[in-house]
Amino acid sequence: MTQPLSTASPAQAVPAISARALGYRYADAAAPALEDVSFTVPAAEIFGLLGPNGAGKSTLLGLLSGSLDAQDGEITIAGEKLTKRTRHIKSLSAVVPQEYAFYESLTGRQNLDYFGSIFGLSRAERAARCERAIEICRLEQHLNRRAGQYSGGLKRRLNLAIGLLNAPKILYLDEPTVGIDAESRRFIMDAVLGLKALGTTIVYTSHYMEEVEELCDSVAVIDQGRLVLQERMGNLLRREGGQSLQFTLHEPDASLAALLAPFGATHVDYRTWTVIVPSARMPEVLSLLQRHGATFDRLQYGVSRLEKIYLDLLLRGAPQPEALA
Amino acid sequence: MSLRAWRASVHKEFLLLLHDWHALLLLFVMPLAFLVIMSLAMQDEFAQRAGQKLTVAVIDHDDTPASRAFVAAIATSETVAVRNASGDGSVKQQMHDAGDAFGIEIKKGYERALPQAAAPVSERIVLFVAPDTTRQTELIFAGTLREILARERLTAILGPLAVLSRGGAGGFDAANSQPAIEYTYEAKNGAQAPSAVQQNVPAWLVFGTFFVVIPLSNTLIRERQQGTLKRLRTMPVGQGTLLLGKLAPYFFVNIVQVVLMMAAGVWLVPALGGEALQLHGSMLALAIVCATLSVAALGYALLISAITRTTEQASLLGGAGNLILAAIGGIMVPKFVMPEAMQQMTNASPMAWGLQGFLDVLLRGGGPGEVLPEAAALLTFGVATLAIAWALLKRAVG
Repeated sequence: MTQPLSTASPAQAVPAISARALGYRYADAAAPALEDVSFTVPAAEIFGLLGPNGAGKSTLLGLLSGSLDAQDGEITIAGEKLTKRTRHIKSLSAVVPQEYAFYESLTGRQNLDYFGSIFGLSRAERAARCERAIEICRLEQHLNRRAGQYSGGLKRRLNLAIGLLNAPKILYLDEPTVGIDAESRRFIMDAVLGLKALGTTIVYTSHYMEEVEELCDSVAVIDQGRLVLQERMGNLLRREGGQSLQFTLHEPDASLAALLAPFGATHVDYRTWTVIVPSARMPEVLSLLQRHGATFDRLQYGVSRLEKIYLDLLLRGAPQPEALA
Repeated sequence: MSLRAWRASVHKEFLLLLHDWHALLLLFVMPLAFLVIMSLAMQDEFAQRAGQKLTVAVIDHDDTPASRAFVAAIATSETVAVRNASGDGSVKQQMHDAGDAFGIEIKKGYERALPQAAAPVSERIVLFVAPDTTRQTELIFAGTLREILARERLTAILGPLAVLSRGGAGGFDAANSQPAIEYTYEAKNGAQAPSAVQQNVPAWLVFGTFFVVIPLSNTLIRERQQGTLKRLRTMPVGQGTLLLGKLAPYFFVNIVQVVLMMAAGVWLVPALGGEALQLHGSMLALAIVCATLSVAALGYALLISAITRTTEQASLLGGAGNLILAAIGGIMVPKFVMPEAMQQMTNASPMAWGLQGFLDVLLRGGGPGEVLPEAAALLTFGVATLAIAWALLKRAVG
């Protein structure tokens, strides 16, 4: 039987990450990259970190992972304050960058062996950790090929596998599914859910809102270096949902556009539809769809989509505290 | 420092280098090719510079006291060696077979024609010039012959007063008239000028060591571009460990380069018809020059890696920089053939310091004390460039 990568308990009271009043300004930059950012990440949860390009996500990940030193504020990792001298805290976490941060002219196994050695693992430990990471990322058949010859999906899996070598309690995933096909993306998402089940805390950044919505227990949004939102995912989607009816058809149907026009319907590829309907008129709309012969893969009412919330948030600015209460 | 992490870094760098055939060709084959080609191509040029005499084949058909005196006068020259050729067969053929620079045929009747104005003696002397003898050498030698002939003619006319023209106390003495020659470059310790192989082995060896800039900068820039360095920064390993793990394999590569180039000078060049490299001097001194040269080359390579953003920029800047350092450092054109001002300029190139260090050992048999100035300069350059590069890289990676 294989051992779990992490033994953290989901019920732990000490947050995995606690950041307080973080600030960071790059040399010669006109504005700070981060300003007064505070949040907590519960252990063994997936924490979505969202924000437009240049918002400060990478800087925040750099500070949390220890590759940058905070100029203001304080970071606590698993209850221990992160400072320059607490290098051992780095052993608790791992970063999986957006880039393919490995050596393309080396084979998959050589890459795993090298990064395993950098963690200071003994030969036996390294072999065991490598095998576990290989198993999770299903790389068995590809280890002896040069990583440069891998497909995009395999490269993502190798990138993730390297991040698992130290059995991290906290894993920072920076856009782990960018540029890969749907099958590989699903594989990565399932692997992330599997890691969470094993007790790993995951900080997840992505521009794919449906991924974040599906995976994350809580979410934070950064814009222009400031934290503009942090909330539990379920609460956020329900509160912002209002009168929104969303459904995904089994097959795309363009003829619905005319039928639902009075309700201000919008759609994605004529398959996923959003309609604003007061609750009193819900029976009327459902009856209309039934008569039309629509068959549904998914249907929900009063729950918003993260993408809509996110875009609204960036367009109108940070919500007032009372609005979120 | 984590020894395990350092060893892993060294191993990884070796693997990356072994997978990079272009880099291996650049590091080993290119300088070796230069070394062999230049050693063979320039050996005649260096031989003359080193004091080797031009040979002159002489056939004396007259065989009289006057003709023998003429040949003896030629033999007194410091620049030529007379070879008495056989009277049978053509002079041209004998010159070709023996590789002589010149041939002289003294026809019968030379002595009789010498004092006579009506029968010019010059018609009794024929000078043959080998096809590979330069025009400049030909003009100088022809002028020397004219001078000797004029003197011999004067002797024949004046008879008893010959003492005035053919030397002796108070007479015309060619050796005494020779101005003192001082080689500004080779005068130290009274050593001889380098031969082609003595110049070219250390020169192209030094050139080759600096080409670690290409693979080292390429791997480092790729690590930066692909986020590998940032990933390593998040791992519990010191930057010093990573840097030493990166540099150590290239230090080893430099040492292998030195050994291979020396071996090529000792065995390969003579096998191809050139002169063999003689290993004089102290091995410790040689090791000191090798080590400090490598530190300088690594510092230069790391600095190029730190100030460039793409592999193209690094290859261009590193390669062109090497060519400039080689051009002014006496690698491509030997320092001793440069004008005085250019010889002073060579001191600006670390390649010149390395070359000078090798020449101190290989040519002049120097020990550790003799190479100390060059070794100190190389070490200072290496440490300074490494420190600057380290600071720039820390800033770039975060």
